[in-house]
Amino acid sequence: MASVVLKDIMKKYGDVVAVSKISLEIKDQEFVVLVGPSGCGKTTTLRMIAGLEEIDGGEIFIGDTLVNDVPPKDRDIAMVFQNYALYPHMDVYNNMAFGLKLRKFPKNEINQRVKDAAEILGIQELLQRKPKQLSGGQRQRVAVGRAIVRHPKVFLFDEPLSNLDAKLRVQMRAELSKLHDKLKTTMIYVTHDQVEAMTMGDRIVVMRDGLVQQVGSPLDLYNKPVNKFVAGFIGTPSMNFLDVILKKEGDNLFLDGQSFKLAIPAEYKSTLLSYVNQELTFGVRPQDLFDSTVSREVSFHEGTSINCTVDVVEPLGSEQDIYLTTGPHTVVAVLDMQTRTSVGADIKIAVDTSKIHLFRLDTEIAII
Amino acid sequence: MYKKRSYFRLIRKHYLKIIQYVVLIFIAGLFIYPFVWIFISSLKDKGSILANPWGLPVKLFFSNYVLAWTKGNLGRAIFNSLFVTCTAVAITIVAACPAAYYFTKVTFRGKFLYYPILMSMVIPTAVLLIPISFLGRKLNILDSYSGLIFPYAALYIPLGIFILSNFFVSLPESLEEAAFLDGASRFQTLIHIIIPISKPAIFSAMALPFIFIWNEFTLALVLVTDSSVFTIPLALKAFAGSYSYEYDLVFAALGIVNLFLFFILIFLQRHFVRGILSGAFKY
Repeated sequence: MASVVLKDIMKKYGDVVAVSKISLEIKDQEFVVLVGPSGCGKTTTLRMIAGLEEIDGGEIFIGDTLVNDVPPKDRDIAMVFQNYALYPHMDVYNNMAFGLKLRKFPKNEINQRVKDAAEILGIQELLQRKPKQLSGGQRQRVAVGRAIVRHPKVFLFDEPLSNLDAKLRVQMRAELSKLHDKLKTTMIYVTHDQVEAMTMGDRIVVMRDGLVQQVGSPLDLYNKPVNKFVAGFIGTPSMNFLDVILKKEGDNLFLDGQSFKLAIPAEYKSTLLSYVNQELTFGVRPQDLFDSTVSREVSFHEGTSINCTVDVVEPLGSEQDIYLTTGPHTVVAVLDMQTRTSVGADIKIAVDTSKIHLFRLDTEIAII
Repeated sequence: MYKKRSYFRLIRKHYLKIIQYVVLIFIAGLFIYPFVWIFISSLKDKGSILANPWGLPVKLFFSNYVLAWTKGNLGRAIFNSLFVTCTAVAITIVAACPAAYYFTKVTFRGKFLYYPILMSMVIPTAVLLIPISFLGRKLNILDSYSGLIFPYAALYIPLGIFILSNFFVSLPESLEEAAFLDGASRFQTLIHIIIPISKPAIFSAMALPFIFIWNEFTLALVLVTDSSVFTIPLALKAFAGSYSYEYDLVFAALGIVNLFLFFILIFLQRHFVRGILSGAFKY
């Protein structure tokens, strides 16, 4: 078990900067998820920690040891690859035992460790099988088993669930979280799936274009995104973004979106006064929009609702995603099934203004 | 109406099949006939081979086989061919495996040598005859097994590198990386992971040099004059004297050699086909 510290690490491929001066401190026993769209540098960062990519700048510490020039085999880490990378000519037992054999562990200890890992993962019956005789989920377990037999200081996961079907992914997600609770080892997990990140990580690192956008707990990122990118990336469906002008009438501030006017709660007034008459991006999560005729979630008053027209209705059973238009804007709302509406119908959508977000139009940095 | 149409369709279908079979039988015949002809001729005496080369034998001369075996010292030649070919192929593969692996997977200073090494495959053997025989004399290895084995291995290592590097390059990087993280060095990764999963390609890289070396004549003719080191092509050539050619014994010797190859092929057919097809399927 060990902490992992990244100090200003950089990676370039020719002129392209893949990772740009990332600094991050991952505590001992923490489960940290690196998340971001394709090409954001998350896998490169993980591979630099593993020692599979050379670093063009900065320092990486595992525990107290600077590992910049330490080869992968001496870093005491284990990695689960996206395609599992099981050795096709070896059976499951030998796949798991290979690392221990190379390190010249006594035979009984190898047997014991493989047996223990197989028991934890429920793959005792598969030990004599070759990888090609296993299903995707079983291969994934073996890949995890190969990592845990070594009792490494740090586990690295490179999108290990992306090759599984949706149902198995949900199941394995829970199993990996349980495994972390059981092993109590530092884990760094890379994914592009924000649901995986939200459900598994103690902390999430959101990356874009080789830069860290925000580091925080899942709820921090969801409730207090630092910029428009994080706000849009975290949460399903994505946050709605509408261009508005912040206006002041008397003592009150409101957002003018051409087709609607939304009153700003008094608590934000002092923060927003300097932005009056400026164009801003208004962000609201689909879950913070309600059908004003049926909702009892929030109490509404004048200036907290938007008149919309229904474009598409997607019933999901427990709730429904409703795609709406209001003036030049398109909005998605997640409404409960009590709302009865159809395409083309007019609907009055109430906004929980205590949960709204505002971003600067130029820098996209969050104001509230 | 419907019946008539389906009848024509049936004929058309069979018609195509018949053409297919005729073409296939013709092609198979082209390949098989020389062997049949060798076998038939090997049972004739020299006179009837010259008088009626395409006809069936009037009398069967099985004694040709005994004579060819003893006079041509074929047992020795088969052993020599096997020993020289197997050893040269073994050296080829032992050298080509790590070379191909390092050329495809590792960045090092000498990587630029990859293409010059491959280009050496296009140099005709005839051009190399004099330098090789000169070198052989200097090293005092002419008329010996090593005088054949080392030149053959040197000639076919580039082919081995070419075949293997094409396969190695298709292997997923993550397999190697998993081995590195498991604690393996590059050499251990090659031995424990890359070579075992590359068996079909390795067999292919062995099969082609094996065939070429087994059939090689020109270089052996220049490098070997001692009949105790003769390989099969040289032993067959020995049946041709300055003024006569013992056709009956040559055909019998060819029959023996072909029979030997036939059994080898049957024994190794499965591996051979898999080796040839190794590049055809995605890993």
